[in-house]
Amino acid sequence: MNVGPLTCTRCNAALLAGMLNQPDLAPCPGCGSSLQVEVFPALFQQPKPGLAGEQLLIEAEAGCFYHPQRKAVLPCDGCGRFLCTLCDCQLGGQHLCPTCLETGRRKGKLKNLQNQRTLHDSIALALAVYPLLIFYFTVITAPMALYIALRHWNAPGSLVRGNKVRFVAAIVLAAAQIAGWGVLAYVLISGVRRNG
Amino acid sequence: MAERDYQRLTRARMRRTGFLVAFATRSSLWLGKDHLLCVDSNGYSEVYRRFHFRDIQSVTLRLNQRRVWWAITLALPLLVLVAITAFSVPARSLTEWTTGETVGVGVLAGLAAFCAALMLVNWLRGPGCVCHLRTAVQVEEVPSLCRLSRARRVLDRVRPLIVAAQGQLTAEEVERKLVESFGTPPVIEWPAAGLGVQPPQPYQGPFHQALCWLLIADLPLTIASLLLKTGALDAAGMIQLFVTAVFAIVCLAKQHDTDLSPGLKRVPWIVLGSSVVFFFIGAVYAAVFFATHPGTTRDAFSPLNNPGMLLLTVASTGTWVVVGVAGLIGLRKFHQARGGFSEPPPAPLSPG
Repeated sequence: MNVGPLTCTRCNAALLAGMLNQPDLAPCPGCGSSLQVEVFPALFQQPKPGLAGEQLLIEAEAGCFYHPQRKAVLPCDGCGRFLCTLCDCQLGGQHLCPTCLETGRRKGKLKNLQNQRTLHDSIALALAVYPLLIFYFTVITAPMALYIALRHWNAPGSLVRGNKVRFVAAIVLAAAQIAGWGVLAYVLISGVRRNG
Repeated sequence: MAERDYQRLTRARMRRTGFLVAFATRSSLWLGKDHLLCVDSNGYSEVYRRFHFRDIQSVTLRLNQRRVWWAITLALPLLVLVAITAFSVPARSLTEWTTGETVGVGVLAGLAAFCAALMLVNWLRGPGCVCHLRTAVQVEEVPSLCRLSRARRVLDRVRPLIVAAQGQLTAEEVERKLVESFGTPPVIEWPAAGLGVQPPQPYQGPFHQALCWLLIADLPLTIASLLLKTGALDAAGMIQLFVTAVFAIVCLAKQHDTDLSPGLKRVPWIVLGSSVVFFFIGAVYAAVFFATHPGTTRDAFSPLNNPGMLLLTVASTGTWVVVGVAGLIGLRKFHQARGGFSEPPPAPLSPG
């Protein structure tokens, strides 16, 4: 029995070939759900086998930094070391060695490898805004918001939102709250001194 | 410097990561130079999923009942609000209304109009759908493509980029390549393990059965509480409400990733949602009533003395009873289709 590679996302029934790349919806043969499936050539491509690297036959030729017996084919775009086809890691149009790839991933320098970021600007803004519901908390949260905003000003933020509007808003709000508490404290102390 | 490598394709939509999450995850879709970026954000951190154009094998759009369920969800409070507004309108000419009465009726009418506007927007946005992107190693749902018209617009925009990266296939070429790759045309086999799609766990539904009986029990308890008006019955009603809510939450946990039918999986959601909606409407109506009738006692707000409150009680109890009975019927059919409590699902079809 031969089964197609594509299945219904609801009932897991294999989809008929006649349903694919059609302009209109078609019913699933298993559950009857209306489906529109668009297929691309990548579905039928076999994964390319990795290249092992060519043996170095002539001593005058450059060898790979990590595999001296393999012929170097290009330099690393990160550190300039010569690389064989086995060590060549292609990422976003760059050719990197495994060390540069790992260093870039660990230090967050390769955007294409980053799959998570902490939004310090959103945290600072939340600390500056939400405690306003119960105003007394702002005596603690306003300095926290200001600290987070200043401490992480240069930290990489969202990949898709590149401005610092939230940081600025958090700083302004937190500063206003701290100033408000300062004024309140001054008024209270002045009142106590006048009465005393 | 600002990173302007991405263009927004969709606004953020909720991604359901579990039956109950502390911080809801909102998912949006962005267009990069050579890939699609799916961003999941909980407000304090973002998780990124990249789908390179050269790796996308297929895009699947499946219609669902999102539009219908939203219409029902909005129609119920709309009907109740319209009825309560009608009952709240004083039996005098408009010029004789007091300020409080005008504001009260205005608030209720405004809420009803808001519900009506949401219903209209929901219907105009078209049928709902679920979109899945498939690559060689994953099948990922794209929650932000939840309406068919929007999903098709995004697909029309992204298709040329995918075609530029890997080429294009006509329907005839797809069928020919499938036959070349897999032999005779595919036949139906169920269940077939989909790439990245987990098989559902078997579930008998005992908690759902208990929940349905609790919903039905609300009817005699409500009637007894209205007629006898004792503190003990009021306390029993509060306990029943609390226990029902707890069971609804337990059902949500138990039904996750099980083979329970989609209709039965909606029962705890309807219970919790209707509780919130009716509580909110009751609170608003109570605020409006006591603001427009200063000095009245609590007894005047009792369902037996107040038509609006009576309507709300009938609507909430009636909803729970209907859902409970429908749930029990659905469970019976589910068990019949499964062959009873202890028997496994029926064997897959085998044409030979």
